[in-house]
Amino acid sequence: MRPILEGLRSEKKHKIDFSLVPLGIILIEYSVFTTQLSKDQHSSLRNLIILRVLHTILMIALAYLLSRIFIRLKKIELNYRTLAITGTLVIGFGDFIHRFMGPALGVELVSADRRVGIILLQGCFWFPAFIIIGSKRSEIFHHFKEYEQRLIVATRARSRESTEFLHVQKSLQAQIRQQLVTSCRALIEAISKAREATGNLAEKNQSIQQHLLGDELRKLSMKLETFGSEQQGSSILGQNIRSVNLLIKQFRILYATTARSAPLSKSVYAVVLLALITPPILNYSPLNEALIAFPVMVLVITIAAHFISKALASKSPHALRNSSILIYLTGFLPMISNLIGQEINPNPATRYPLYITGLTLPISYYIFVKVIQVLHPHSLELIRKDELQASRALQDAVTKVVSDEFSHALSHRWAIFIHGRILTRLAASSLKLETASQAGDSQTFNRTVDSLVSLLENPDAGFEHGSIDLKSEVSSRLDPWIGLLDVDLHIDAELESIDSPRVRELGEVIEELVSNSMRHGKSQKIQLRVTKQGDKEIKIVAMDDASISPPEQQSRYGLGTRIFNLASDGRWSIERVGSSTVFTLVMAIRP
Amino acid sequence: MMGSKIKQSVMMVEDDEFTRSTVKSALEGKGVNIVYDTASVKDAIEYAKSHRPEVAVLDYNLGKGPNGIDLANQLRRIQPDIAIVLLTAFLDPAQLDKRVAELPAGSRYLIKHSVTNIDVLVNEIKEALKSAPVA
Repeated sequence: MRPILEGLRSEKKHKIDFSLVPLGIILIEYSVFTTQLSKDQHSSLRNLIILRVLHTILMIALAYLLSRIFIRLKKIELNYRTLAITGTLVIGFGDFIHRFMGPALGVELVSADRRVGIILLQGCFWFPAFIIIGSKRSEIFHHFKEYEQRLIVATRARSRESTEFLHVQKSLQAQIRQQLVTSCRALIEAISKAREATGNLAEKNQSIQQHLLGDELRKLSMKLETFGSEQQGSSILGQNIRSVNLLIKQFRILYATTARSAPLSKSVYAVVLLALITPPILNYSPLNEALIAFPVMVLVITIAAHFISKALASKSPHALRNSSILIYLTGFLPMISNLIGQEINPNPATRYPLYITGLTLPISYYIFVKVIQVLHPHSLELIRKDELQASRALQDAVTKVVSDEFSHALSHRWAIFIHGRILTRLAASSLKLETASQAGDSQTFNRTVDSLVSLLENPDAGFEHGSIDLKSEVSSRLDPWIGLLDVDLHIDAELESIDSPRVRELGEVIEELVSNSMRHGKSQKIQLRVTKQGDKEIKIVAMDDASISPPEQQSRYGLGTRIFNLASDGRWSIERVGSSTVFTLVMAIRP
Repeated sequence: MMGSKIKQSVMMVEDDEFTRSTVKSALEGKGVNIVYDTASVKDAIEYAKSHRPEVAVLDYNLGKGPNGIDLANQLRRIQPDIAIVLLTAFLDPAQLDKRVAELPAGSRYLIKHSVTNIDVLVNEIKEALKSAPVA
């Protein structure tokens, strides 16, 4: 197992990145603050706070200055030894300033030898640690981006089969049909009533005409079209959940996976706790006690680390829980040993404050160990290859996004259908009735009303077409565009006869990308390749001669995005290559 | 009230056969010279290339594939001075579909239910002829 920090003799270079150093300084300053507060080494709380705030600002400014010097010297990589020496000098300089500021503000400092110990620890451990983790930040984010992408794809695929999603599908279809049927029934009733009323043809026509404006149906169509656009915000989550969010949502699962498959070495558990406990030992114990306490702590912590590793490696179903409890309890060891020491030799000056050893220290240790476990290079390697499992929170979020996307796409199809099939017929019938009425042609008048009523009795007929093979589906989507766009189509021979419920989604993708290419890219030619990828997937690649580049990722959250996401579970991209726009999408053949 | 008859050649594209035949016969009743009517975008383009009609009356919703605005833009590329009237059930097609392309300059669009009075459509055709670009 590779250690987190290289040995002093290691020549391995680390990129210098100061971005996490301010956070490190704040944590160290906080730790010094709690120590000084507990030891009552200050004239007033106000002065202590002023001292710590000024010192924090000074140290951050110093770190910034140092980073600028490195940039000026074109030093972008340093080995651990140089980092440790630099860290010791920086912390040492900070202590030097502290020596003047402390007495000026009435804050008493611990002795010089203790401060040297603390400077060495902070300079050789915490300073390089924050620089190295900072430099690995982009690598860590890259790993998580990849992980995120694969996880979202897998979760999306699972969401499509989930009972929640199936419920949304069914209930939305039923709800829209119900609204359509209700509006049409009301219309039939109104038309029939007007038709049966006494009066001549012109009066009947006048009475029917007011209903043929189809206001209710127009409202329904508009409502369906605007349905999804109100929920655009959640869509952003769909394809691109930010890695930090994902890390938080997935932390438990990530930890469980990495701790079981690539556990930290015993030394890491021990070193982290020793790095946390050393400052209190140096601050509170006289030198002779520290010389005893430190080796004892090393021994006890090493034994505890051994048990943590053993618990984690056990085959018990509760291994993870047991090891977590042990990690947390290990954080209490410094407190226990100090309490025992106080029993043997009571001395208020060497008593650790309980809020540090009983609260801050165990929690810090627990968090540090878990974060290091997840961010460790071996864990990151594992995350790249691991079988994926989404946390409940992520699964719920993705299911919601998938449902929203489906709802919007379906609502849009219904809106277009109502517009094209029903509202158009109402307008044409209105015109025909008007003409027949003017001509006194009661036969045409009645026939037109009958035909309209028959349409309104089954308003949803023809909304869905049955499953067809891939070649026919693609042709039915592309044929209407002939004349507007020159399409060069290739479908793998073995795919042509595929008949899957997903064929319709593939047809929607093709229609969407062709219409985007023509409407937004102003292209006139498009090459379309539908090929088989492995045994289970279809790959669609479209290359056009669009004169307008596709918009940036962030602004593409319209209906098209939803259609592509639903079909591919997020596995699609658009990029500009030379003077062409290339669209690529991969989707599963079977649901 | 009505001005002179429309002598220019008019092409109609509407995918719903009932609507197409109804509007066509009503326009013909008003003396409009309907030279071609079709449900197909492809056929409309072929016809425009070979016969150069002066006016196109297009339905916005043409079923699967391109809509009336896509067709209008293509017709203008083929024939820059063609007058265009778009029929829609909405005041603004963008209300129905946010992704629609822009209607070519000088085109007119008409809400379908106002076609009940066919004179309104006849007037729109005249307006479209006036506002169409000069070749």
